[in-house]
Amino acid sequence: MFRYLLSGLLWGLLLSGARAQTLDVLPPTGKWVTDLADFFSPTEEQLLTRKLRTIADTSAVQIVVVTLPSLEGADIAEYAIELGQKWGVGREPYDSGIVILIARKERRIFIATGQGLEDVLPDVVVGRIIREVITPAFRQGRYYEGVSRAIDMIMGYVGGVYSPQEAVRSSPGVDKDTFSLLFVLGIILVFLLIDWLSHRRKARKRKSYGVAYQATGSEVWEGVPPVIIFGGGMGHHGRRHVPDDVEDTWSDVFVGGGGDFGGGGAGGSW
Amino acid sequence: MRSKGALATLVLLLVVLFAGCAGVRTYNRLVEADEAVKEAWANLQSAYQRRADLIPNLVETVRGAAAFEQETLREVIEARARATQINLTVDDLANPEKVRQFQEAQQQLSGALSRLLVTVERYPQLQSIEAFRDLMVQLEGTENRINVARQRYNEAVRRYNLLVRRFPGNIIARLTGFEPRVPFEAEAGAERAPRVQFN
Repeated sequence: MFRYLLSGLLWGLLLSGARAQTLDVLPPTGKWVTDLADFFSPTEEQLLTRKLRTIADTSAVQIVVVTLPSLEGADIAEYAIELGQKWGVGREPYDSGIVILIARKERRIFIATGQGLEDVLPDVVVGRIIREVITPAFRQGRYYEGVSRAIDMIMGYVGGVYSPQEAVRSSPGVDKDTFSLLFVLGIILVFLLIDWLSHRRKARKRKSYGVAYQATGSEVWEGVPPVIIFGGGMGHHGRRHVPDDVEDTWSDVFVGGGGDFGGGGAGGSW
Repeated sequence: MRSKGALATLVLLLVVLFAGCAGVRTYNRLVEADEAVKEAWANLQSAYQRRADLIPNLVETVRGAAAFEQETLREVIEARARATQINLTVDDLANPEKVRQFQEAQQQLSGALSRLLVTVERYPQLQSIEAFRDLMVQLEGTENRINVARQRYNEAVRRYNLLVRRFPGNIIARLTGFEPRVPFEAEAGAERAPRVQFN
């Protein structure tokens, strides 16, 4: 028993020395299409960006395309999954991200699916899309067409899963912002509530003293908890972090929504 | 004199109170880390299970499609049987011997599978079967999930073990029976199932 404990301690020591060995992936570029290996022409890159931006605007799904000159020995699946996790592709509550990673030197592609999409977009389906759409197109050098059509097919599977309403509700940046706002509001509300309660007690006192208690215009609110007064007007808060003047173009910038990746997806080579 | 005694009592009381609070806080953090390990372990276990569930299907497809080397297939079946026999519960995760056994069995299965996949490459007719290709994709998917789940398990264990071994966690852990957990070794590169290339 003691031996186990001791060796357990040794294990622990060993592990704490060496941090979990994770892959060093490309840091977030803030772009929907990061074409480091020049697979696409500038126009094609723009078209793809627009397509991916529209998808993110109208659904909860986030898709990024990344091309690399070389994987430098890394496993493409591991790389794509790690990149998706690090960039936080996909909205956090749904884990609805997809990473399309293409490596030029290795002639390999991997499509990693976020944890929340594994059921609607099983590995087998991704594998078929790669075999039937991407590989044939890539062999003829039609990279844009292959990727674009693959994205269309993917959206056929995942497009209807999360409605745009849900997408808006779960926009990036909502959580912390709204949370702190709600916290501050909560404190204010507590004070208001205390205030209101003490008022009511006073009012009751007045009543018990036999003073006629008539609700005049302003006093109507005395019977209503302040929550209701405060109810409206905060629906839009936290939607974006971007100043108003760049509101039209904000989503040209890719901002990760914090989606998780659990190892789903499939790959292939051409 | 009396006021000095009262002061000392007060200070002592404060120290005890502070220590108590710190102790409770540490204990709660230990519980949290422990839960995280359990959750990560459940995920890792289900990833292994997913692979085990896939194998009978794979074996059937391969056997049906080719006059295949029975030896390689039998190896996979036996390795799967051994791997599924060893049941590692959450309590066993503090036991290096049991964790090692479990891991060895899983690694043997990985090895047998990768040998099967190498042999399979010699049978082009097998690779033209759509069902077989789908199976290969699923197999790769389970290997990827196992890798991810193992990394996250190890990370959870690392956090937990740090708490258990560091002051003041080590005192609380000893008092309340938290033991260090054993991480999983990463599988050597050669043990990983190779990716089948379809051309």
